[in-house]
Order: sequence, then C-alpha cells, then structure tokens
Amino acid sequence: MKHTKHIKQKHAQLKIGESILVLIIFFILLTMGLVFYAKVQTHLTKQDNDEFNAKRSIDMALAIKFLPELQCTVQATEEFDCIDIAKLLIFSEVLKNKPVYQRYYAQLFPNAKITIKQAFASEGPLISKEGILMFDNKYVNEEQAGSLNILFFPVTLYDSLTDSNCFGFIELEVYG
Amino acid sequence: MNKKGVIEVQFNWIFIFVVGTVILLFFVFIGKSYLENSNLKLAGKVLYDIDSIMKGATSSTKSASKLEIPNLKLRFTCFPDCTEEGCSSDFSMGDTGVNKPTPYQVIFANDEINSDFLITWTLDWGVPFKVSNFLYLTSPNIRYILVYKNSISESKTFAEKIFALMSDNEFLTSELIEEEQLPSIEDQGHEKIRFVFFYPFDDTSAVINEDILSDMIFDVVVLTPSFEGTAIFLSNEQVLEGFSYDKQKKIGYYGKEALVGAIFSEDADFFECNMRKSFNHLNRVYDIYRYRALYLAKYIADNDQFSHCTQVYQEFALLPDETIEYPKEFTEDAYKTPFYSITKIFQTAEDTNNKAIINSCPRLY
Repeated sequence: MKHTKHIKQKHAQLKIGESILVLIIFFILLTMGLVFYAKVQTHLTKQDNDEFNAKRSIDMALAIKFLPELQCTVQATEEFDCIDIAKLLIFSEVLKNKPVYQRYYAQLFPNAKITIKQAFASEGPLISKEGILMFDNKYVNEEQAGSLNILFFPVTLYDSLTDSNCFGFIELEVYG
Repeated sequence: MNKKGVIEVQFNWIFIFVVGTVILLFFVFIGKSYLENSNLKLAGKVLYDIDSIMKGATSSTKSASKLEIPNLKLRFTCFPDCTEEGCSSDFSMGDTGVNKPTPYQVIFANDEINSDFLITWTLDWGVPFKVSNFLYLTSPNIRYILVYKNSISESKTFAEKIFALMSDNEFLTSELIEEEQLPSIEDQGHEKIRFVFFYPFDDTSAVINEDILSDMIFDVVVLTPSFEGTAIFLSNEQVLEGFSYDKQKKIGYYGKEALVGAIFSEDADFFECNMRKSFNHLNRVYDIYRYRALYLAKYIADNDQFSHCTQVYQEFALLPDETIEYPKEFTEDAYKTPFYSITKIFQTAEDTNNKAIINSCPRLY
C-alpha cells in the first residue's frame, strides 16, 4: 500500500518536472529567437539610419542649391547651380548681426558644415583656397560623429564686381 | 483512484492553465507592441517621404505634379501666432500622432487631405526679387469654382487671369463660371468644393442653390480683384445661415502667388499663418539684398569698368535696417506703417535694378 503511494507520488513529480523542462526549453528557444530578432532589428535600424542620413544630405543639398539668399538671378529669375559670391560674403555678415536667422538656418542644416570652394578660374582666384564657410552647425566633432557624409556639388560662382564666372563646388559635411 | 491522485492531476491542469495564460499574454503583448510600433514606423516613413516630396517640390519653381500616396489622412495645422522664430505649424499622419513641424515652410493646403493622390504646385514669390517658393497642396477630391459677375468688369477680367494661371496646373479641378450659373452647378462627387468669388457677393439666396449645396461640403473665399488685396473666408454654415462682411476677418495678400495661396488655404488663420511665414522669409532676403547693395556701392568703384555705378545702389542700400511687419490688411494706412510702405521698398528695389541695367552696372537682383 505504502509502496504504491510512493510510486504514484514519484510519477506526479516526474510529470511536473517534465512540464518544467519543456517550459525551460521553450523559453530558451524563445530567448534565442528574441535575441536573433533584436539583432536583425538593430541591423535594419542601422540601415534605416543610413538611408535617413543619405536623404537628409540630399534634402540639405537641394536646400543650398535653391536658397534665394545665395542664388544668382537675372531680373529675379534664378540661374540654376550658380552662387553669387557677393551674396555669399554678405550671408555670414547678416548671420552675425541677426541671431534669429542663425536659428532658421540651424534647423535647415542640422549638424552640418557647408563650405563653398573655387575649383578653377581663368582670371585668377575669386575666393581664397580654403573657400568661404557658409554655415557651420556641427553639434559633434569628427571623432564623436556616428557617421559623416561628405558631398560635393559642382556650381558656378558669379562675381558681380568683375562680372565674371568661375567653377566651384559646394562641400557639404553632414554629421550623423 | 485515490484522493491524492486526483489533486495531482488537477494541480497539473492548473499549472498548465497558469503557464499557458502567461505565455499567451506574453505573445499578445509582443504582438500588440509590434503592431503599434510598425504602424508608427510606417507613419514616420510615409511622413518622411512626403516631407522629401514637399522639399523637392519647393525647390523647383513653377512645377506641378500629381503623386500617388498611401491613403492615410494627411493633416496640416498652422496657427497665426508667429514670431521671427517661425510659426506653430506642422503636418501629421492620421491619428498616429507622428508629425513633422513646419515652422518656416510656406505650405498652403486644406487642413486634411484624404486621398490616394497628392497634387503639388509651386510658384515663386517675387516682390520683385525672389523671396521664397510657395507650395500649394491639394487632392483631386477638391473642386475649385472661380466665380465672377458680369456687371463688375474687373471681377471678370481678374477671374479669367487667375483661371488661366490655375489652368497651368493640369491636375487641378478648376472651373470659371458667371454668378448666374451658380444655381445650376452639379455635384460631381468631389469631397469638397471651394468657391472663389472675385466680388463681394451679398445676396446668398439669390446666387446659391441651397437645395444642391445642402448636400455638399463647401466653403467660400472672397477675394479683391487685384494682386494686392484682402481675402475673406466663409464656412458653409455662414453662407447658408447668413453673414455680415464687417464681422469677418480680413487677411491681406501681396502678389498673385499669395492670392493663389488664399484659394488653397483651409481658413483665415491658416492663410494668415503662412503669410506671416512668408514675411519672415521676406525679411531675411530683404536683408541680403540691402547688404548686397551696400557691398556693391562700396566695392564697385575698384573696377574701372563700373566706376560710374557707385551712386546706383545708394537709395536701396540706405533703406533702414528694420523688420518688415506683415500688414494684415493692405489698405492705404497699412502701406504707410509700420516702418515704410512695403510697396516703397519693392519700388525702390525695382528702380535700383532698372537704374543698374540702364547704366550697364551689375544688377541688384
């Protein structure tokens, strides 16, 4: 009698142990699945981030190229891919005097640095070799930045004082 | 079977039930948060794509396009309590709460666009120098009816001009009608009709067929037949129940691009907000041109070819360094305040530029 009771008790314990074991294996598999899923998601997020940064760079490049504050115009009609040097020089002057404008350009060009450089001029340099810094709105330095996209866009530079054009490029540094 | 065996079997079932419930709840929780996250992610992606589309459209002048978009409600808000820092304005995706602030972007649109297609249109605002590109957003579900009155000749001529301008955008549903044709307009299944009157219509019951309009969603904007004037916005309730012009908010516009902005804007507040944004842009560009005139006046003499040009830019260069305020009404008084008439500034710019061209000097703009 006592022996049968003992066997039944053992049987029940075994059943519970079995269920717990199944659960442990289930949770191990689940954890492995979740870890795998998290890794895939991290990878995808990084991809999304890169895509976002690339789009951000393109948006900024478009914004610079079509900024009425910089574009060359003929009777208010804009000339594409042309930057007026006089406007460019004035731009930093105006920014210095009006901090409220700085905040506008800061949201237009977040975490970016824009320099306009001259590539070639048949009649001598119109701007210095280092170029003209249009706007520097970096939140981080190069070492701290998660990513850094440097884009170059060819433009023509127009000097109204000499009525001459030369080739140049916009150097856009976008920090991630 | 003894008692203990029964308890053991029951305990097993209770154990399975509890653990099963926990596992089920866990998966329900995971599934729910995944669904919420993916909805937010989708809304964010769509919003970002639409933002890119809008930025692209804003960059290219005088362009129009019809783009297929996911049929999610696009909501636009713009409140006229603006500062030099911008306006409280954004666009969002349905009820997701995902939004994109647009404190500076000039976007004239309805407060809600609920369609598979988004119509974008861009015009550049020149006063006379280019200030900014205006972006107009609408959908094929919105019908624009421009109304003139034969007895008011300027309303007809002006309505025809605006109709010709709107016809440049092949994607818009716009019509030009005479007041007498109003009672015969038919519902063509559009979500909304925007009536644009180029005269102050007063006898509502005489011009509007209430039987037809009671079934439609519509609103009205009354414009001055001029490129400098005021816009009055009326809701369908106001039109059907009666209104007084004196009690309506009048919002000023300057230039045909701003006038078109009134046609595309949801209401008076939305339009005023975007006009204020435009004036923020105007101040920045005006400063650049003023400094450019100073720069040219100062350095042009260094070039023998242009030594005679120094005086050309003086008048514009010496305009005061003050903010051009947005006058709500472009009345005679508004032109004189707050610091000068804005027309005087624009006229000075135009004169300076003409003088520069006549004297073969570099242009101001």
